[in-house]
Amino acid sequence: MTESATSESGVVLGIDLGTTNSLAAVMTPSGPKVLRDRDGQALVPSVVTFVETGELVGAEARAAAIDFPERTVYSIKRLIGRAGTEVDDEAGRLPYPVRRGERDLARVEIDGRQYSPEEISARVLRKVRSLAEAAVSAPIRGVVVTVPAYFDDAQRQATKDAAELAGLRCLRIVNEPTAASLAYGISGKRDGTVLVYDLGGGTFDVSVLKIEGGVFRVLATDGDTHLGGDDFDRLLSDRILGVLRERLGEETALAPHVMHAVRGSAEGLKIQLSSEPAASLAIEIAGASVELSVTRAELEADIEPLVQQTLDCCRRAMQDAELTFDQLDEVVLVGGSTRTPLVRSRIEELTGRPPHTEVDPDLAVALGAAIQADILAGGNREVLLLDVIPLSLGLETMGGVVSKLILRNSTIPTSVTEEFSTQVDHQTGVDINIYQGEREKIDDCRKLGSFRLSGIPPAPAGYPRVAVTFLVDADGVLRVTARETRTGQQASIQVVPSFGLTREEVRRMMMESIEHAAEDMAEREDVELRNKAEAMVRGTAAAMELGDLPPDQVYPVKKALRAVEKSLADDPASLRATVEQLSKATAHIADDVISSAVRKSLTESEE
Amino acid sequence: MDLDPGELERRYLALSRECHPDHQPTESPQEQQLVLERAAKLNDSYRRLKDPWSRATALLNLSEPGILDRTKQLSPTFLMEAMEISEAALVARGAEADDLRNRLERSIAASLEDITSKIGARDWAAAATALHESRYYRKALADLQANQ
Repeated sequence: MTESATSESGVVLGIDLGTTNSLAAVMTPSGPKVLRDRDGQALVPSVVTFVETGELVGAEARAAAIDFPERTVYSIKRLIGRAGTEVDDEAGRLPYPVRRGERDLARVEIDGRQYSPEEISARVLRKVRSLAEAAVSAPIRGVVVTVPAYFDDAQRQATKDAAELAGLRCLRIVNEPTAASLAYGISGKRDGTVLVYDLGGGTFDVSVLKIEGGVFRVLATDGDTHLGGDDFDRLLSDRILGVLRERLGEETALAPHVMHAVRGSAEGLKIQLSSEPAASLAIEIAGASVELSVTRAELEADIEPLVQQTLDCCRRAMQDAELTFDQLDEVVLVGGSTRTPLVRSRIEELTGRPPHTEVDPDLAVALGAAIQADILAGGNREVLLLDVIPLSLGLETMGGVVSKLILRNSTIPTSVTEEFSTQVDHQTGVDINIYQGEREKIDDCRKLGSFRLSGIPPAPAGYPRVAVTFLVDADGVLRVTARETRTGQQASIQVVPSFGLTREEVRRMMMESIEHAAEDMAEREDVELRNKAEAMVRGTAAAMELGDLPPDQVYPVKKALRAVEKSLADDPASLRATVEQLSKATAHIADDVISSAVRKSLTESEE
Repeated sequence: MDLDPGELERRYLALSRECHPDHQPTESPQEQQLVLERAAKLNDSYRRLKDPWSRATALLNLSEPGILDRTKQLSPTFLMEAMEISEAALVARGAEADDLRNRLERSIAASLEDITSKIGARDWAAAATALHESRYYRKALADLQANQ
C-alpha cells in the first residue's frame, strides 16, 4: 500500500453509497482495490431491517426482507435530502411506511419511531466501514463518498451528514460518473473526450469529460436522480401483475404475498432477459403453481421510454459541453443497469461507437473514489479532478422569479458576490431565499434554504450595503458569507435548510448514535478476534509444516488448531475460547518459531 | 482580445494544479476558506476570459471603468434596425429563418472583429458601443434558434 493510503493513523477509503448496493475500495501500489469480506463479497446491500432483537444491515437485512417487508428499508437513496411531498409517488411503491416528519421532511417510521434517511444511510455506511476495517486491519482515517452527479445541494449535504453520523470523516463528496472516469482513465492512461453513462439502481447520470495530462475536467453533466434499474424492475412486475389480474382476477392477483413474490422475482427475471430472449416465472397462488413467461422484446417495449429519457440527457450534456457526438473519443458505461442489452445498443446508436465495459460496472465508482481519496490524502499529485455544479443556483427576486447567480456546469469551486440593501429605514435584517434549478419561476425550482442576514447597522433604507458571497465548494455544496461593505463588519448569517438536517439535528443524532457505538465496538472486536484467529491458524500450521515442533507437542497443538478452525464460523464467544486454548497449547513451544511464522503470515495478509 | 484559446486553457490547467483544494491539504478552516476562494476566483476568471464577449466586457471594465454605462444610449437608426431583426427572429420560418440566421451569424462575427480591433486601438467608447449593439444580434440569434 502507498504511504498515503495507509499510515499510522489509518487508511482513506472510497465509498460508493448506492441505491441498491454499497461498497468500499482502497488505493494500493498496484492500483485501486475493492475491499471484500471473508466470503469474498464486496457489495453490501443498502438495506436495513429493524427486528425485535436489533437491526440487521446488508445481506442479512435483504434476506430478512421477505419476512419483514414493512420493517425492511431499502432504496433510501431515493428519499435522502428530499421533502415528504416530493417523494409521495416513491413512497407509495415502498413497502415500508414513509411519513412526513418535521419541516415536511421524508421520514421512515418503524415501531412509532421516525428515522431520517440520513440515519438509515449511516447504518449502511457503518456496515461498509466494519467490512473495510476487517479487510485492511486498520482504522479508517477518512472517506470519499460518491453521489449521483445530478444530486442537488440538499442531497449532497444529507449524504455528508450520513457519513458524519456513521462516525466517518468525509473528505470529499465526488460525483459518481467522474469517479468512474478516474477508474477508467487511470487504467487507460489516455487523453481524450469521454462520455460516462451511469445508470444505477435508482439514479441516472451522464457526464462529459476532457482528460488531458492527468487533469480530469468535467465539461457538462446531466441526469435524473429518480431513474434507474429499480424502475425497469417495477415496469416488469407491473406487466406480470397485469397478466395475473387478467388470468386470476383482481383480488387474487393483488394479494400481498402475490405482489411480493412478483416484485421479488422481477430483478432476477430482468437479469435473465439480459442474456436470454425469454424467461419464465412460477408463483404459488392458492396452492397451485401459476406459470408465466416474459420475453425480452416485452421488457424492452416497456423500458424504451425510460431509455429514451436517458438519451435526451446525453444530448443535453453534449450540447452544454459544446460538442458533437463524433468528437467523442470514448464512451464508458457504469452502473449495474448498463448490462441491459437495450441500453447498450441505444447508446451505441446514439454515439456511433461501441461503449467500454472493461471495468466491472458495479465496481468502477468505488475504485475511482479510492483514487480520489488517495489524491486528497496527498498520495497522488499527478491527477486532478475538476468537476461542475449540476444545477444552477439563484435568488428569489420580485414576483417569484429566480435570478440566476451561478449557472449549471460551472467548474467548482465557484463563487459569486451580490450586494443587498434594506427596504425600510433602520432595518437590521434581510431574508434571502436560495433556489436550485433551471426554471424561471420559484415554484418550478427547489428551495434550498433561507438565509437571514442580521446585525446590519441601523440606517436609512437602501443605505447599508451587504455583500453576500455564495461559494460552491469542491463538494458541490453551497457556503454563504456576508459582509457590510461600508463598515467592513462581518454580518451574521443563519441558514435554515429546506431539506435535510439542521446542525442541531445532526448533533442530536450523533448523541443517539453513541448508543450504537457500543454495538460497533463489539462488532469491531469480533472482527479483530477473527483476524487474529485466522492469523494464528496460518502461523501455527506453517510452523508445524516446518517440523520445528517438539514431537510431544504435535498432537495437542493440532487438536487446538482444529478446534479454532471449526469455530471460525461460530459465535465470537466460542471462538474466543478455542483461540485461548490454542494460545495455551502453543505457549510452551519456542516463542520465536510460532511468532515468526505468525508474523510472516500476517504480513502476507496485508497484501 | 486576441488570445489563443489553447494557451489560455493550458495556463488555466497549470494554475488549477497549484490552486485546487484537492492539492492543498489544509487543516484550519480559515486556510481552507482562503484556498477555496482562490480556486473559485481562478475558475471564475477562466470562465470570463474564455468567452470572447465576456472577455471584452472584462477588458473594457478594467481599461476604462464606467465606459459600458456611459455608452448605453444607442443610435435611433440602430435601434430601429435591431427591433425589426428581433421581431423577425420571433416569427421567421423555413428558408426565411435560414437567411436570417446567416445574416445574424455574419453580423455577430463582424461585430466581434470590430470590437477586437477597437480594443486594440484603445478606442474604448467605440468598442463599448459595438459590444452593446452585438447583444441585440446575439439575442435575436438565440430567439431564432429557440423558435425552430
